[in-house]
Amino acid sequence: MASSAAGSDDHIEYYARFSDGKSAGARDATVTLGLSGLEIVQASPHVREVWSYANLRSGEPLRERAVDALLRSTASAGASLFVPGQPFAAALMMRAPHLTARAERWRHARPWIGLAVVIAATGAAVYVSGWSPARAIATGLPDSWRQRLGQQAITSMTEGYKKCVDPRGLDALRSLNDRLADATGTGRPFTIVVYDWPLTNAFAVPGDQIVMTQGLLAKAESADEVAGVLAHEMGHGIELHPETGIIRAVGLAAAVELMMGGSSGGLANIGLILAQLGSTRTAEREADLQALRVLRQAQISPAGLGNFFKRMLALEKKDDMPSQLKQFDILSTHPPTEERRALVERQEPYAATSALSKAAWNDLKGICAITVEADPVRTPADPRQPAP
Amino acid sequence: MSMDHADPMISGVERSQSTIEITFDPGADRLIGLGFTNGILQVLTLGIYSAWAKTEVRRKLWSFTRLNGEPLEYTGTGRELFIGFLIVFAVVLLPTFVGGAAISILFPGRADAVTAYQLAVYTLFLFLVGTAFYRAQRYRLSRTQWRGIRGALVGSAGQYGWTYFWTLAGPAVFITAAALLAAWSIGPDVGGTILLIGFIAALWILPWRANKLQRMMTDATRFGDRPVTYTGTPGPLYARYLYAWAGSAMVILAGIAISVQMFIASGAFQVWTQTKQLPSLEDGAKLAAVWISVLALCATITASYRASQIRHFARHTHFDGASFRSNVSGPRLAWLILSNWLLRIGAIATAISAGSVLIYVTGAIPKAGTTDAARIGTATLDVIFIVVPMVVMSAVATAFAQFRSTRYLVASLSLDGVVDIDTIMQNQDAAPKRGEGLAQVFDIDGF
Ligand SMILES: [Zn+2]
Repeated sequence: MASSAAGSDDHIEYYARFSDGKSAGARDATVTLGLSGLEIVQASPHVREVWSYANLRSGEPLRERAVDALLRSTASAGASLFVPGQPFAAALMMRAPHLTARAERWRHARPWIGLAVVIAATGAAVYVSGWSPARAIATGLPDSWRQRLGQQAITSMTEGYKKCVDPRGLDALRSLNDRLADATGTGRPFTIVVYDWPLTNAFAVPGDQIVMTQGLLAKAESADEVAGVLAHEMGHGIELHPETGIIRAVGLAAAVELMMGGSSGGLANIGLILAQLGSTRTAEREADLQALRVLRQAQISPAGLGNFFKRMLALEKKDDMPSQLKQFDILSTHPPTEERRALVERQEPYAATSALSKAAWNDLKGICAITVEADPVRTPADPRQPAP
Repeated sequence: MSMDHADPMISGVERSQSTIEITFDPGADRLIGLGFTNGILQVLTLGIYSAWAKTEVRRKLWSFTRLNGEPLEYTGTGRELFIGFLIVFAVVLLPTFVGGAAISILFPGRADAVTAYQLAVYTLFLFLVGTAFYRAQRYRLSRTQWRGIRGALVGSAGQYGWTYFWTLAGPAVFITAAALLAAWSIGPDVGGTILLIGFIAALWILPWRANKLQRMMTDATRFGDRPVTYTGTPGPLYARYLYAWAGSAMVILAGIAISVQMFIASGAFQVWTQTKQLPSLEDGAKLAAVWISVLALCATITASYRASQIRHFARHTHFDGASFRSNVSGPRLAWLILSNWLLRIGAIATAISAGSVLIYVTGAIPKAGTTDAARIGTATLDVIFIVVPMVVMSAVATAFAQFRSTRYLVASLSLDGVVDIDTIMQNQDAAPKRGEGLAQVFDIDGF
């Protein structure tokens, strides 16, 4: 490191080791910071070459406190130059600012900032447009898959409860089901199963299947109210809400797996919680609109729908029901009662008949007079015919 | 520094026999700042950045490692790692995931179908883990260079994966079959005994197996065009293994004896036999203390075996005219592993507490009765408050832990003897195009 011109680094010769990249050997060399590039002189054999500053690449970005520099030139493939000592690195920073840590950091960060902006913009666009990928996939699911998904959901949710199979009750249920299902205009048959379960509840599961509890039948004051609840659940089914919910949950779990490099765990559950919270209000309004359409088509009064949900919400506030049960459908419906009542009242009046005859309504209420163990595996050969 | 012996000219080629000194840059940056930046970018890009983060950490660690004062270079890129991961995700992980979902939909409630599927997946994964190790090592060596000369791993990843697989699965299948046969022909007690003793005995295959796998990997390693060779035999490992095995067995037996003694002495056992009442909290805490000590002791014993294995592997690894030597010590390795664990736990605990304080201060707790939009908003805020500090802090802890491990392992390594550096030529084999993928998915690629 002999310096010949103090005060200027122009003529300082720095000791360096030059490797040609063909063998692991290194030759002693001297390097000077020239006007347009590094002037490298190898000792033996005596070779002189110039690496222009623009072509320089550094193994690690240059810093003030770097103790050495490892350099390459894009014009000289394979070759590398190792210059020990802090002064050279500091002097080179002035000549080749693109090798500094700051420049390198910015170059490195730029595409990532761009990507973050794109992700945020895409998220915002999806959110604003209301397009749902999960819904799109749900629409494409084959019917047999939806059936099986629903069976699984029913099996896991109704575990420990018996299925209600009183023949006269089943007849009444079937006639109500037929009247509503025909009115949906979708041509899809619905399966409705009643379980001997004291909780007041009804929920739609994939595959156009609906589970209703004995507790709900007991609390309902008329067949119209039950019809309203069933129409609402059919509305969920028509809109594919149960399928969409499951796909959204699975998709989020997969996305989290992808993000965490396949070794996630706890974070997947956070995704699931968010998925459950997501867009329930929109879904409820959609189900209500479908329900009103179905009830009108079936010529059943929409008053039952409004009355029942209103009463149940009032009850829910009093009840000290275990909070984890509130996630089930009718108890998690949170469109304000006002809004729902307004929706029902806005309906043009139409000629309506009672959903069921008095006798049939009594039969339906008594459907749990005979119960059977719900078998865990049921082939959905004839989903409308509950197992005897 | 290097000591060059200028040998006389041999057939026109100048030969220089040099020693190589392996050092770890003592002034190296602790990577805490880098870990922090990585964590933030990981959050902003929903985790996609992690491949680039890993690359940045490696570049630093490699550059801190010096041979005769000149740094190693890591030339891999985040893009290679990311593409490798995407491919494995699409080819292995996604089909497994979808297959599992399909099985449980097609056979609802059939636990046996799910179990059979899981067994098949685990078997496949056990094979893939060995393959993954090999491929990861191949990728890293091909992206490691010194003075522009690349490392390489020749040989077949599948062959390594198969050896990795059968040396574990073979004994397991054999013992299980023997136990089933005994259970069926003599009685279930005999079968159970054979199963238990068989699996304990099968542990003795491990040193042999480790040595065999090490040989496969080392003998296929190249620096430039020069091979690395391995001459180790499993024999010397067994004495160490006996100590570790017997030591752990004694510690565990002592743990059992102390717990039994504690339970009978305190009367908790008698109470339990009569009333099925669980032991008190105090007894529970004592029991936990005993077993945490047992675990810590066993971990120390295991670490001392692992240290001796590292020394054995190094001693029998030769390059040109030199042999490696490692002075890794059991207690220091145990402390390194333990302290790195504490570091991670501490970092995550700090992050969770910080997040909780944020949630408490801002009052962002979802309340029933509010609108969905409000609940989603607060829940999202909560997730952000917890997840962001967690990701950032664990990125910091990971980078620092990797720095500490690398520093210790590199600093304790040396190369005895001389190497003819000048005649090592560049490796002409094609390097793999993509990153390690598989290893990343199984989270075994270390750093
Ligand atoms: Zn609903």
